[in-house]
Amino acid sequence: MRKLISILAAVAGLWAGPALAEPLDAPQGDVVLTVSGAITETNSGETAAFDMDMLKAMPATTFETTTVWTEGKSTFAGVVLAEILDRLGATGGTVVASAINDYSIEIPVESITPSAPVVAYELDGASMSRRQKGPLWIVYPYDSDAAFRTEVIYARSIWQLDRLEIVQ
Amino acid sequence: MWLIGFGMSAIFILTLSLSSEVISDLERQRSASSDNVQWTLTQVEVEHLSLLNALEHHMHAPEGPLPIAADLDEVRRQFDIFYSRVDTLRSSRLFDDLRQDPEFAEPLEAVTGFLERTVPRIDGPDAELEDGIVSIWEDARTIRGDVRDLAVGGLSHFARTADARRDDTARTLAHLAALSAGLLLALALVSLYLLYVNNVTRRRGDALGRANHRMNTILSTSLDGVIVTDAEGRVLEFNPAAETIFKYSLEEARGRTIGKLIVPPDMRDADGVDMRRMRWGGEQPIVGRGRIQLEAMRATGELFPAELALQSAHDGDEEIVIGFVRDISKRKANEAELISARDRALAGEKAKADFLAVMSHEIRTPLNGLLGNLSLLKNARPTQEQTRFIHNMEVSGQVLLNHVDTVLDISRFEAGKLSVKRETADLGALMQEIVDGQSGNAASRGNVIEWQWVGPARPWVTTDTQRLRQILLNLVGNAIKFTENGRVSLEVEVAEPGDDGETPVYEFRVIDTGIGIAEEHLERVFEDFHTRDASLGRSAGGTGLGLGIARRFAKAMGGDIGVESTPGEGSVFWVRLPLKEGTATARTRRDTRTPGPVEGLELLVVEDNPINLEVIRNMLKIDGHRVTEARDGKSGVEAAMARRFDAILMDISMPVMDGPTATRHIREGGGPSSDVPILAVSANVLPDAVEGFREAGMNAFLGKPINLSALRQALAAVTGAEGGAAAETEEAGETQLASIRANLGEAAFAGLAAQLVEEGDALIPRLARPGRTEAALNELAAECHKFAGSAAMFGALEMRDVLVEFETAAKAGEVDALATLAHRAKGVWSRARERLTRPG
Repeated sequence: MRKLISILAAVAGLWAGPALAEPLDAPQGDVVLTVSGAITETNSGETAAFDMDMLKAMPATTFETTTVWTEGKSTFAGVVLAEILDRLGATGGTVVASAINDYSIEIPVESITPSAPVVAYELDGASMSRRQKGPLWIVYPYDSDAAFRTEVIYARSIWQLDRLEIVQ
Repeated sequence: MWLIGFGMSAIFILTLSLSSEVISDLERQRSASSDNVQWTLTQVEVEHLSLLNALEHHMHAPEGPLPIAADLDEVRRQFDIFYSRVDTLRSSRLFDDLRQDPEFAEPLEAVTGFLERTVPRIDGPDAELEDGIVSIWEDARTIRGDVRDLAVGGLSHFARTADARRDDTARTLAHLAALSAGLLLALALVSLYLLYVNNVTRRRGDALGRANHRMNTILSTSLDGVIVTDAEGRVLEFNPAAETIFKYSLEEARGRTIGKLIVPPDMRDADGVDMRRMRWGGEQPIVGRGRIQLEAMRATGELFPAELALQSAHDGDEEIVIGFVRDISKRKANEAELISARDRALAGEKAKADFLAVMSHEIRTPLNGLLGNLSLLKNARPTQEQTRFIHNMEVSGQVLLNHVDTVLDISRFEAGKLSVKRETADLGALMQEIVDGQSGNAASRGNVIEWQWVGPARPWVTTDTQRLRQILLNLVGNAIKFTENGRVSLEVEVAEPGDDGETPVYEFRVIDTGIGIAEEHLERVFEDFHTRDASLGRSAGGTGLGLGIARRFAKAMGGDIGVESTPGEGSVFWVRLPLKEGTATARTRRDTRTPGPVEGLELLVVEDNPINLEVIRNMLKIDGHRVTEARDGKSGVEAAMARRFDAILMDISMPVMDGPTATRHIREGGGPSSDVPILAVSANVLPDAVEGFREAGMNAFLGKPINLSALRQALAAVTGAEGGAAAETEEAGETQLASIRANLGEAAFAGLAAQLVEEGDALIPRLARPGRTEAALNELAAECHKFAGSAAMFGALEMRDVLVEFETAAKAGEVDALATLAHRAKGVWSRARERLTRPG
């Protein structure tokens, strides 16, 4: 039943267009990502909580790249950060991303493009454990552009992501 | 120029390569290959401590605020975080280099070992984890040092790397700087070079400008007109001089065809003038052919002579013609004036020459009549008294002739027409002849006359015998004139032997023991018309011109004349002449062994003057020649065509047909007498005239007034016979003897003659025994010389000749010839002796 409603909601959301943010479902599984700050859609108090399924339900992006932390080419699958912000009706200048070990980094909203960064949940077709820098890792397609191979971008490539805060 | 291009491209390529190197360097720099490794290394320590913290928290927690399970979750969480961090160290390529370093690899190994050991417990159930917490905590504590080592080791490694990277960057930047500097330097050099080139160009431009200015100045200041036209003759340039000459201004002239401007209208062809062909009224193209003269026209229409030189040249692609024009009206006028002046001068010269010729002829012709007749008269067996009269007349006639000759000589000298002949002469013979000729004159004043060589005898020379004779005769005559009862000696000496190819200089001295000349007169004796005593006039030279002529002759012969004198003691007149050596010829006229005169020839005489004709006729009749007469050239030719003669005597100036013309007719006529010797008989003795006679075909020349001996000689010469010499000598001797007899008077003559005979009788036998030594021969020669002189004075000329021959042979050491000569001398002496002792 809930599934049907969420599917209907998702379709409705799609049909309505991206400008309209749709009401969020509540997470069923473990919360992997908590978004707070200047957002219009919430599902738990002031924040929006996602479980892995909710993230996987959103439009997925896949790309292949080498990274400075891994060996050889890796295939990342995830949802673009822009999508999440749109979904939540985020209006703000900066996204503060924080990790499980409390590492946090600021990502200016204007640096977020429809294709990068990606909040990845799968590495080479499999979920990432905490030990493998999972469950969520903000990655950029480093190989595709020299602009993605700077220290700033590397600093924004936060792994073990669990919180997003939208601030001004 | 290409050097610059080459250099520039080389630098450019270098720049490109270095830049690409720098760019790729910078590119590398841009893509950070290192995420902040320092962060990772420090975080590993932090996260290890967090793990320891979580473990300790749980260990001491039983009383704590949190429930056990949450603690365990926290432990698990911290473990996972720590694990992922170390995993990064293990697998990230950032730490590839570091992992090679054992100082890093060993601690990493240890830490990894802890993680591997602990994973199963972390992943196990809570109760097992709980139990093993303390040992995990101890294990974690143990690796604390390793964790620190990781951090420290990594840090120093990355510090080095960063430094190296900085060095790289620095080096790259340095390269860039060097490259830039190099480029700047190259640019600077190129700039300098360009500056230099610019300078050079500017200077060249300046020089060009100056040259151009100079050219313009030259053209504008040139006095010659310079006209430049194109190939069709349209005027391009017209310099100020051209403007002045042609009276067109530059503006008027420019663009117009040159032909229409300056060529006289009658010389143009129909469509003006084509400068390229340059047919300005002439046939020849005149471009590049040097200067030509033609008539040009000024703007006013005035024609004037101009000198023009044309050259074609290329001005870029076009052909231009450059003309240099000079107005030569003035020069032409000067030339014309010079030509007319020259013509006048030539005419004047011609008039003078004609005058000389006429003088020569007109005066000598009657003299010929006079002296010729006298000559005949002498052969008509005159009485002694008559002989004396004849002699006097002859003397006067000779004087007159000499005067005429003197005047002619002076005129010729002043007219520059004094020619000096070159013929072989025997000085010895000449001196002898002079002494002989003057011996009578000398004897009449009681003087002794003699001559000798001073030093070695070199008798054979090349000179003008006539002139030399005239000079010497003049001097000797003077010497005799101013000496009484004294001595006149002639000396001839080779003053300068003339080694090394120089012409020998001979000095002739005429020494007298006369009254001498005062010092103040010495300078003036050679002046014209200077005489000591105006009343004198006995012999030649009384006009006072004699020495003047002698000096002129001496100078004309390349020598000099002078005098030294002591009043009361005597004078020495000297003549120095350079005389080239002559070749000794066989003795002709003095050879007494030759046969008699030529006789009995068939002769044609062509002469218009009846007196002259009679003279010649009578002279010829003496020697038994048969004479045919013709009164003019035409009848002479006719006579010559009629029969063959042995010789023809042709007068020169005759009416109807003159001598040379008649000669030519005879020669070309092919008649019987066409190849017969023709003698020119003329009063015109100028050498030019004589040359003309030879060209006409005449063989010999006989000057008027004719004397018998000359006639005989000439006939003998042309008819090839040697005769006449002996007879001539004899005749001369007779004259001499008679003359001296007359002068001395019978008594004196007899005494002197007896003395001479005595001397001769003594000398002659000694000739047969000359001796052999040089001293003996020379002594004998000297005695012969002395006696020869005396003999000659008494007319024993043949004797004299023989003695002279003997003397010469003795001096030359020709001992063999002496015997023959001695024998001959004996015969001659007997004849001479007989004549001397014959009553008068």
